[in-house]
Amino acid sequence: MQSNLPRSNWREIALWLFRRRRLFQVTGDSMYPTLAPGAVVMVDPRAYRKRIPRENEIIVAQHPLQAGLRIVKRVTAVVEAPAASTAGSARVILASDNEAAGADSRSFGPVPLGLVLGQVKSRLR
Amino acid sequence: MFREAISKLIAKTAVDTVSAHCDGPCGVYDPASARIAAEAALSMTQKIIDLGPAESADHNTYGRFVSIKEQQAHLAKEELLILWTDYFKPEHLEQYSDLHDKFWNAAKLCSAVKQGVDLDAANNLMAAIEDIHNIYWATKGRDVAYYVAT
Repeated sequence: MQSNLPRSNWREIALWLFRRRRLFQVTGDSMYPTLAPGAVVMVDPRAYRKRIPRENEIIVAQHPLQAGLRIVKRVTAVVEAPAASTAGSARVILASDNEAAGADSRSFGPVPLGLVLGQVKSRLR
Repeated sequence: MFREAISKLIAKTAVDTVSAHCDGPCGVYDPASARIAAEAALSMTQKIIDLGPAESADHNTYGRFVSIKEQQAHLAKEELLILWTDYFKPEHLEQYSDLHDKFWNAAKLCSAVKQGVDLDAANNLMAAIEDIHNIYWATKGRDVAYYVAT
């Protein structure tokens, strides 16, 4: 189930003032209709310091194969780490909201948690 | 209302971007997809030649062979163009200065295979794809052996 992203409220704006939110402008339409191209989102870089991402959350991540490219996607699954390993080896599976875009069978596979840069909390524009 | 105006002002300060591109820059490329299509087109070219001048009973078979040959040659071209334009970057061009020529020639061979019943073109296309296969995997730093299905 997809959920809509709330508009930024005063609390979000205050958190941004205290540098607890980072602003990103969205390019491309793979997250449409949740995020249209040009949308500006507020991202919490600390969201996943104490917990791992959950299904259905929208995140910003470093692209696993293209250095310097940040992507915005929705978490569709969290792949558990093998029993012997640390929590750091869990991976998230990401997808686009735009079904036309998601139909492409090519995908970059599970993304290590270390590449997740934060959670998209709200939308300014 | 006021919050909306403030939000708009703050939004203007956003300098960093995050990508939500539709073709999902996934980085999963493999010249094998072009090779399979080109190999199918080569096979259909050979079958058309083997069939010889079509008797009336063979017209359907003949038509199918031609249709499949054209589809597969076109698909091979599409797959090559995706590799060329999406995967390869300027830094690869520095290392392989004839990269553009190779893709241009391979794409032209796809057209020749599609348009005619040209066994030489079909074989040359396979050779061109093998060449691209070797370059592609070299850029990935991997030693992947080239093979064909038939």
